[in-house]
Amino acid sequence: MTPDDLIQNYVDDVARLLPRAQRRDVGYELRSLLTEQLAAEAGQAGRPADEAMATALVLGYGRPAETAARYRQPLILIDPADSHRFVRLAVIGVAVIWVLGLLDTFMRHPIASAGDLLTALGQWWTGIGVGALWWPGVLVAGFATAAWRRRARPGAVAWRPRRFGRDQVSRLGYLAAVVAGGAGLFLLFNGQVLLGSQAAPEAYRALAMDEGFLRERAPWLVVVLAGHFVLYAVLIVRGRWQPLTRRIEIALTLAACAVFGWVISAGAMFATGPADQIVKVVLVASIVVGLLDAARKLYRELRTAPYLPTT
Amino acid sequence: MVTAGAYDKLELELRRGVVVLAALSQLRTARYGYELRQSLAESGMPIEEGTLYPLLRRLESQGVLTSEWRTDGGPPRRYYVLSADGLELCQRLTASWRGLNDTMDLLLKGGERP
Repeated sequence: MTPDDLIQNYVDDVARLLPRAQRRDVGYELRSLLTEQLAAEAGQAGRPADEAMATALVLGYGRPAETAARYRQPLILIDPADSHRFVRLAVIGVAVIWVLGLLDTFMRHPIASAGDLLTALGQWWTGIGVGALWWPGVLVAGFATAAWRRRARPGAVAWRPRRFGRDQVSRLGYLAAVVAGGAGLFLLFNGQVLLGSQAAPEAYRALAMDEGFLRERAPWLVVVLAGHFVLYAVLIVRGRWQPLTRRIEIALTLAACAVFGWVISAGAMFATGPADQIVKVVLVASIVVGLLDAARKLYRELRTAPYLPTT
Repeated sequence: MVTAGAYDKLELELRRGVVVLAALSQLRTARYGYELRQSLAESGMPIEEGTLYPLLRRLESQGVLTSEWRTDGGPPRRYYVLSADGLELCQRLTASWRGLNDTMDLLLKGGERP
């Protein structure tokens, strides 16, 4: 290849990556600059330009994509300031989806042999494993939209101090959580209330609870959830977190995860399969979220202890 | 001990900050890319061609420079020169650079601004 051909080759690759309106003009200019520079270098070397000399010259410019990028305003999808957060959320999110999917797969396909395990893992990978990549995609769209908004309207999305300090509690928020939690617990054991009096008999049967669950496991479920309600009631009265209440919350979360795990694994909760499956998937998700939350809070506890005196 | 790599990186950062002003300072008269690069290199400010040529295009798109193709008996070359706005920008950046230079001189001598 002659030096001229090599330069033309490089310029073509650069021009292909430029906006259509710029291609011809920038390509022509870049070619004339490279040719002139090559001639000058050949003159300094005291020999005619050759392929090696031309290759070294264009490599000095960088990859065609890098050279083309310098001709345009940089395009930033995710702000560099958000990159670490993006990676953390993407990795944690995919890991959570994978773990939940794995648990769901094992619940649906009991493992009796190595072949069963491989089959289940294959189904998990083709279903949830690859499918979980929707989460990074959603994050890219979200972070890119936020970055675009910040650039378009810098003042509208300026940082604002939090309404509540780290230790302060939104009394109204916690009261709403207690009311919502109580209502959810009531509906869990009285799902028929949602149906009214006109629903088909199958609907009532679908929401009927397993007798064994009601007798043996349900009381423990109520106990750990009631523990949370009591804690929230204390927080509403005091209006702030304190070292003891933080640690009690971590302990209650871990206890709830343990009870949820036992409730799921010890047998059916609902009399019908579909209702049982749905509620168990929700409980598994709650366990994963609860464990992550407890781990995060425990980590903070260990890092920030001992506490400064609080009033 | 600071590594040579760290020095090179930080020195490059310093140079990067003055590349635009250095280029503008030489474009009060029209020059084409290679000529400008040679002029800067001879004055002790070598700038990579892969950085300089795209920079000229970007400054032109921002209205700082104007350009035209000329042949002048040789191969066609694109000549760049400061626009009226570019000249004003160059003067403001020069004043800013001199202020920074004075401040840095004081800081590096360990003195304080009067």
